[in-house]
Amino acid sequence: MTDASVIDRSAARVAGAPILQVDDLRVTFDVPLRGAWPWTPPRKLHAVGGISFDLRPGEVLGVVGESGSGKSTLARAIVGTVPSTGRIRFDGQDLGRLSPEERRARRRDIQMIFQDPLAALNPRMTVGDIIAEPLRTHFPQTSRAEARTRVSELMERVGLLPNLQNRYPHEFSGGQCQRIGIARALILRPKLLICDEPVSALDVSVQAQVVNLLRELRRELGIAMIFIAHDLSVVRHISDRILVMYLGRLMEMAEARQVVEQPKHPYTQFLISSVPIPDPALEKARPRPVLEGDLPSPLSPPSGCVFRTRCPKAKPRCAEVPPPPYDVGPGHVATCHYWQEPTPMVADAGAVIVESEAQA
Amino acid sequence: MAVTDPTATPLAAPARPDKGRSLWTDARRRFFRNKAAVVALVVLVLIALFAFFGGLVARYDRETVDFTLMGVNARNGGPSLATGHYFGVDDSGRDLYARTVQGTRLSLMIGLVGSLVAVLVGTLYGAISGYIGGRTDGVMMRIVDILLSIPFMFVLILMLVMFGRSLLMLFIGIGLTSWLGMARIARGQTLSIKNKEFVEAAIATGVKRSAIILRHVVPNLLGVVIVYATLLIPDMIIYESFISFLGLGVQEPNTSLGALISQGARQILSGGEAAWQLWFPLGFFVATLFAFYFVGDGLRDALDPKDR
Amino acid sequence: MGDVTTSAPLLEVEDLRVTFRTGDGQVNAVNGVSFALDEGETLAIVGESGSGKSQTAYAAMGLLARNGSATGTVRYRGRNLLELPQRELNGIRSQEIAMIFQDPMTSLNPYMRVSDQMAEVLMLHKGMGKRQAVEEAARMLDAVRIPDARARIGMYPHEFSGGMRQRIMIAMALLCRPKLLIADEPTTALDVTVQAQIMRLLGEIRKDLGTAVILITHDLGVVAGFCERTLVMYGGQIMEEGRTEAIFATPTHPYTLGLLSAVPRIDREDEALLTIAGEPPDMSRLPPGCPFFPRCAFARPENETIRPPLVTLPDGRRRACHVPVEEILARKEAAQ
Repeated sequence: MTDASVIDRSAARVAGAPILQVDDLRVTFDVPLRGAWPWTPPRKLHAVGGISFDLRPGEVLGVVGESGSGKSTLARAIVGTVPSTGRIRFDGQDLGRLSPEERRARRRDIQMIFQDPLAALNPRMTVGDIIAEPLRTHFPQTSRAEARTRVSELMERVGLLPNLQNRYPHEFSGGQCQRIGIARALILRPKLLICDEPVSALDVSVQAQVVNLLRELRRELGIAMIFIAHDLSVVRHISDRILVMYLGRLMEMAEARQVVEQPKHPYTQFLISSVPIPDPALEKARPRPVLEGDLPSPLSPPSGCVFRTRCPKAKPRCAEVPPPPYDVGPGHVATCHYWQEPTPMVADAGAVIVESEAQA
Repeated sequence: MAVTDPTATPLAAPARPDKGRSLWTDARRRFFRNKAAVVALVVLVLIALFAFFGGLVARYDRETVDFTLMGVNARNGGPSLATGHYFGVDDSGRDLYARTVQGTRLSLMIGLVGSLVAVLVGTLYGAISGYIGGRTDGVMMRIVDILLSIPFMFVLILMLVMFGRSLLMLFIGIGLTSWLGMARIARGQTLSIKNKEFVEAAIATGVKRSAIILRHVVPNLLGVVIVYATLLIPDMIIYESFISFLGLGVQEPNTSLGALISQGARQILSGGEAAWQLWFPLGFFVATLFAFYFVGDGLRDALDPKDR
Repeated sequence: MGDVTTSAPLLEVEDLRVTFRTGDGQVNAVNGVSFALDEGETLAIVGESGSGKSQTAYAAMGLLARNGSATGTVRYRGRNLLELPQRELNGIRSQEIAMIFQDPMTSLNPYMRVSDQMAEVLMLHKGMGKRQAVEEAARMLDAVRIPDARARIGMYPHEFSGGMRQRIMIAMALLCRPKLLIADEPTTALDVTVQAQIMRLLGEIRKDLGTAVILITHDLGVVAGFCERTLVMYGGQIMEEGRTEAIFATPTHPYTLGLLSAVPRIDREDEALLTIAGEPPDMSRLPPGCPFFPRCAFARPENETIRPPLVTLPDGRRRACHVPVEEILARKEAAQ
């Protein structure tokens, strides 16, 4: 198992040009004022405020953030179900410049799996039809028999009995529904798979099955993935790199291990020390500092650094100048002016993890 | 450790694909467990058989005046197997059985046509409006609002007075308005379906808009639509009856349950004793309405099992 | 349970069974659960969906859905809650045992100001006047660290964030200083940093008021940091129960072992996670023997029909499994 891990993690780095380049991506929603006239200009909600990153073929990028961090909106902007500004280059093509028809055709290379496995499946369609729908959409000339064969193969691959093709989604459990969703996402052999909280609605024992399945598929098919979740433990487990978001902004991005073991941004540090570890001895011994306060309203985010209202080391400058992404190590960026100064309470958030790893 | 464990479904893999149990199958099962609804459905079927094939056993047609009963209607024109007037005769000596058969048929037709228009036009209109959303939705729904704000009964009466009373006018009038409520319901339902993840999945996959509406939105609307349509039929029947009761509906020699009830009631009001002239049409009217409401309720419980 | 303590336990559940009548037949949600809880103790009831963990608590509180029924005994300070008349049960429920839920909105009335909702409880059970009750409510909101509580007490529940609502619910639960707090997945809907806030708050309350807590959750991480004892449920039955440290360090039940290895840990970088095959059971079709049998890596044919009894081990923990402890411990060693 350990050998596989080495191959697995390095494979991502071997591949050359990035498959996805996201540059200053912004998503703005109009929020109508309560009780306003239809013609009053709505307020702007900046759900995603300027995110940039690259993704190489076969790489898994974990996106972590709490509710309201804009991580799901980021995913939808890349898939194209939410309008965005900025540049998204996929496979060398600027998606923003494509005609709607070209864009629709391009969709077959980017597929998505969803949080609520049952809600993501049309209750009136059979599982076979659901899985075959992308195929029918992009290759309408596919014969019925051929589609059925493909569906059977895929169902087998994701751990479902192919003879259940004519069943309906409600006859399956949550974990099985997620497998159906994965099969549907894979039938066109996409180059990029976007997973929006794919395991958070599942039971613990089933979660592990789905995470393992995704890892296997990624290794076999070399698909790049963006794996969005609020659970840092799961994300660490599947990602090569992790991007931490807060209030629509990038806080920190680095290799998974770096983020967990040497977090530089105070928010990441708090996040890591908040994650409970199923080990009573460790939990008792480890300091549990708590991030105070509430998430500010995304309608009126704080000026400068969006995290400053809850940051224990905020200084006047944080309110004035939004921090740029500082290079804090090889392939490691953090958007904090004072990343070099230790954060009160959570300075050793990563050290605790390193220590525990060493003991295992 | 392998994750491909089909143990989840403790079935050996047979070669033949398994038959699924669709939501429709489930709904049918639930419906047939509801005794009141099943009885109502049986009643409805019987009424429909009566309306469409009852004429076969009639000994008279609805226009022929039975001169043997002329003048002694009230005394001898009552329901009788011997005379062949199973339901008796009306004031003019015409066979009430034949007239009730025809009246029931007409009332059912009006209900069905109104409901059918509502289903076809209303569902599509609502689904399109809701799915496209934004400005289009605003304009389409304001049109519905404006149409709804015109008192329908008043307009229908005006139309019947202006263009003359005809069956066609009645169908047009009812068809014009029946879809409005349905459009609103379909739109509301579409708005919630549109935000479901399976629609998003379809968009993300690149499915065309028209395909999304027809494949993903409309089938999921159907449950609500069917329930509403079933409950709309009795409403339409009542509308028509009301118009006919006012004397503006169908024209002789055609008749409808409303017209028959009107005649029967007038006859009793003016001191007549031929009570059967009211009770037979009224009985069919009430039985039909009850049956439709019960079936509608049964369908709602079957198709929308949220509260169970 | 077996050992004799000097004082009687606060809560004693014995052979609790819960069944639901549904359209598809009878569902046995809880099948003979027994445990005891001392004053001030913290107990975790851990399980996946359908394990019966929540229904155990609902049954004890008399809060089952209308189609459910419970048998057995639930003794609170010697009184069997299952047989108590509704009025007395209501009294105990509001003043002695309090419950908080996953979704705070289920127990907060959206059309009532927070101040009115909280004052109502105090006026009803403590006979306070309105002004005094609001004052006390504000103090309680302060205690659960709602910033600016006095100014915000007049707001409606939806005007607070998710974490704040959970705090309000905790404050309401604590108004009458209950002896026992049952928390049903109190942090499942919350973000990790908010979860950390709430769990710290619960810990402080426990310390300050000496309240016993039953924490119902699927999150083993939360359990590890909070509970003295852990009870693992599956298929409506207790699989294993004992001191949290012992259960986590040396699980003696295949299910506990599987669950612990299936959870990804932030401080581990292992390759594939070890999984438990299959899916949680269909409660209307439980096997006659061990409910975990179809998914068990140690299963033997006879376990399918014979239900393992709950046996107390020398160290005080209880387990229900046919497989010898040594075999499971050996497997765990091998995995490491």
